[in-house]
Amino acid sequence: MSMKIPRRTLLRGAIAGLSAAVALPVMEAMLDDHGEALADGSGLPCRFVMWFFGNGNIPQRWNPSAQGQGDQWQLSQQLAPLANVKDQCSVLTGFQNRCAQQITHHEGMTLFNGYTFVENSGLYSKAGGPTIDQRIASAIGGATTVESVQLGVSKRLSVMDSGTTMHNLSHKSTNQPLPPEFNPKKVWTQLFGSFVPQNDPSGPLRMNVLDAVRETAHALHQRLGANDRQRLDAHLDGIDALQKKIEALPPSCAQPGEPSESNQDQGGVEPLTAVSDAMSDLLAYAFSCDMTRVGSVMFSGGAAETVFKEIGQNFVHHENTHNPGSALEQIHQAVLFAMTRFAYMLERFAATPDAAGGTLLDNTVVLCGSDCSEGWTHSIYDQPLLVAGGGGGKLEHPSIHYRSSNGENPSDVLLSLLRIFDPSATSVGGGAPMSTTPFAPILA
Amino acid sequence: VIGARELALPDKGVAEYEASARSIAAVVSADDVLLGQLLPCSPTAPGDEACFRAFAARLGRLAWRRTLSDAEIDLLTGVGMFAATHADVNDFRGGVREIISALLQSPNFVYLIEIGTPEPSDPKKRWLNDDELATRMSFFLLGETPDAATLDHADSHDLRDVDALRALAKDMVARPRARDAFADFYDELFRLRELEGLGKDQQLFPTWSPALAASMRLETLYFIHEIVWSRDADARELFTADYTFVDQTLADHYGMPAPAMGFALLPLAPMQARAGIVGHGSWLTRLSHPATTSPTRRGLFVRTALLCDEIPPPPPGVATELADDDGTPKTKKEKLAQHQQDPQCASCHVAIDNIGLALEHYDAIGRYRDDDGGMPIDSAMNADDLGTFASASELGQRLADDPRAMTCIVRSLFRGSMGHLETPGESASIEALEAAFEDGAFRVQDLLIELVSSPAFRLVADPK
Repeated sequence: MSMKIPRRTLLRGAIAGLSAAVALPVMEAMLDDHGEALADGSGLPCRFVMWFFGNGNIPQRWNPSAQGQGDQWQLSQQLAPLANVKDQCSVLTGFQNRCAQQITHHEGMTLFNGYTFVENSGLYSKAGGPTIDQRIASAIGGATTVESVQLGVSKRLSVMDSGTTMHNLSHKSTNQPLPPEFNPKKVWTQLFGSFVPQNDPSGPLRMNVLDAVRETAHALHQRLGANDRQRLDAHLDGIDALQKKIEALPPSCAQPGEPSESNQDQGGVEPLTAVSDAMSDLLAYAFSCDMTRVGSVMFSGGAAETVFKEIGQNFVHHENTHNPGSALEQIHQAVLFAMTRFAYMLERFAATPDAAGGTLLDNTVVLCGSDCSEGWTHSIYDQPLLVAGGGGGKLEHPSIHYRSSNGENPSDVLLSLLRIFDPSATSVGGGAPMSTTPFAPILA
Repeated sequence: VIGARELALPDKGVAEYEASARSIAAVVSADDVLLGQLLPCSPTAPGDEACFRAFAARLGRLAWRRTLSDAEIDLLTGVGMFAATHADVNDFRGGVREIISALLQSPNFVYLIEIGTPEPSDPKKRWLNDDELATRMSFFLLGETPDAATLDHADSHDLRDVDALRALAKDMVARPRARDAFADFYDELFRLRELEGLGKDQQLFPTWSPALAASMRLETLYFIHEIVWSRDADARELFTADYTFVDQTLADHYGMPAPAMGFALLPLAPMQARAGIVGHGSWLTRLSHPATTSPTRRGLFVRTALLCDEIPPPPPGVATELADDDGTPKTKKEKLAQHQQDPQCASCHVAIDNIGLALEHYDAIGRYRDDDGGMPIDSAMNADDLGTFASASELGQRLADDPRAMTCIVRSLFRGSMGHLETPGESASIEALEAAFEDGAFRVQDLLIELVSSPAFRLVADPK
């Protein structure tokens, strides 16, 4: 029988000197007698990752030929890198994104939020509403020191698009995009490197200053219109989040050392593999240590201005997708490259034991997608859509390939994933792409 | 970036503000000289409340760009007292440090607060208060927060009096900082700061380097500086000048004689048919792919950034697969032929691509080339609204002859100063500015003064 320690006490109380080769996150002492819930009665943590790669796939090489579950279907050419985690990676094909407007690429991002973009002019737009990771973060983010993290790998964002839709994967609201952090060192600092040591005098001083800062906003708040008030509220939420972090003590798990990778180009070449894997490692640690339960990864930006130099390519992936005759093999190799890095993350999760039982992958939901199907048509029918992980037993296992015969709404998938974290959720998105009908086949 | 003023900070941004504010506060509070300039009193004890009060009022006015209320001064004094008398601190300096930290993290410092006062005859119109107006002017014309003298000027004059306003604007435009702020504006408008991070194919372009990118950026900035500040010349020269600024790196790149040292104004080689900004490597390079040029991107830049044309996005369901993609080498003109033939594409792409195709003699890093990898370049192009052109210099002349290029300067500056696209209610002010710019023979310094004196610059929308 384990000794029960209230979770908050553990976060605030010091358990020093713990070190282990493998991160040991939620201490067994925090679990209840049955090991099925935290001692304070809250459920075992389930995590969510939204993973994005830009500019689509080649559907003929991506879509598995057979449908079904487990051995009934096999991975396709472009999904071959997922072989080691196939049982925990479902493939959904044939869905029809219902974004109400199309200006190329922007509409593809509806896959992640269920809203049509807004305020568009030329190739400018903003996201129509919160992305699914942020819906989940607002449901479960309060339990952790950091509500959610946004990570990026390739720094080459679209030069032609403007606004916020294409340059950010996660959006808290139309006017609150959450820019990805591309430097693993900074991510480390954000997650692990900024704890205030116990008894450090700066702690109470910072808390006092932040209280005062919050108060200086009061008079201003009264004088603002609704839009500016929302911005100010978001700023004040940021102050709350910072105070929470100042009060938190370092997690009791083994923490990773500061990574050496900082995402600097080497002779004009982006270190994509090293950065992507460093980000996956950091996510695994952050989840293990229960620093956060929600993350997003923008592997390459929407429309993919990335050059995949590491596999010998010289042309921008985006440009290649406009020449699918001569550049088809290069497009294919670039998709494989992205899936190989995605597979690394899933395998990393699968290799990390979770204190709550099983592996990290067992207790995570991963949504992977892109901004179009074929880059050369910008089609939003049959966009890449994968759902990986065990979801704490709530996702179908072994995995399925489901091909929609009637172009179902991908927002239905978002809703079913959201309900794993927030059973009270009844809808995702708004307008034409909105869903009120969860997609059941993905659930166990 | 237009629209950025509507966006909210993510949590990460608030944390970064805190880190910056704390670093600055630590440096300033430890520096006797800086502290001497900021402190209006000599503290008599770690918890010298009166001295904290005087300090908070003085620095607060500078930081928040207005006079603080008594309640605000009380609050900040409390922050100073808490720190100074904290057992681990017990030091007046520590209190100063925390007051600075609080001032710099406050939304009153982080955001430009523009609320204004309703016009009695039309309450939907709100005039910026003098402090707010002086602040808006200072950030636009000088790129920095108003100094004490400017705030004093706003306090002692009525800036609703246009003559007083104009006098302040003239004074600001005459300061050296105005030149830096104007350079920053074009740096952002042309996104020149992105040049150094641009990846180019190292096999094809082994000379591409951050140093070359930096020189290209400076070429454009020095060139604009020459016309706008050194000579206060007719802005149409931006498109027609037969000279540019190069250093050794850039001269080698362009195949020009190099100056003895640093950057110098040198005549362009007529052979390369460059003129003005249209021949600059900076934007020609930024709007190319890593390995090839992009006539479409270059054309779109001329259309949107130099002419302020509005180009709609591609129609829904359009296939962007270029025809005849059989792997045989083709010139960009051949590759883009479909843009010209398919009516769905041609309605916009002819006007866009033709401009870029006239610039095909400048490669993906802006060097002159006779041919495209052995394939001949035919750069003789035309556009319905511009006429014919076959080079940078000819296109530059067409732009100089087109009134839109000058009104686009007015509009770009207006958008940059206001942080939003012009609204219908502002069109009368903008048209007046365009007329004044033309009447004044296109002198940009005068335009800046006119702009901040214009009603549109001094008004703010109802809070919504």
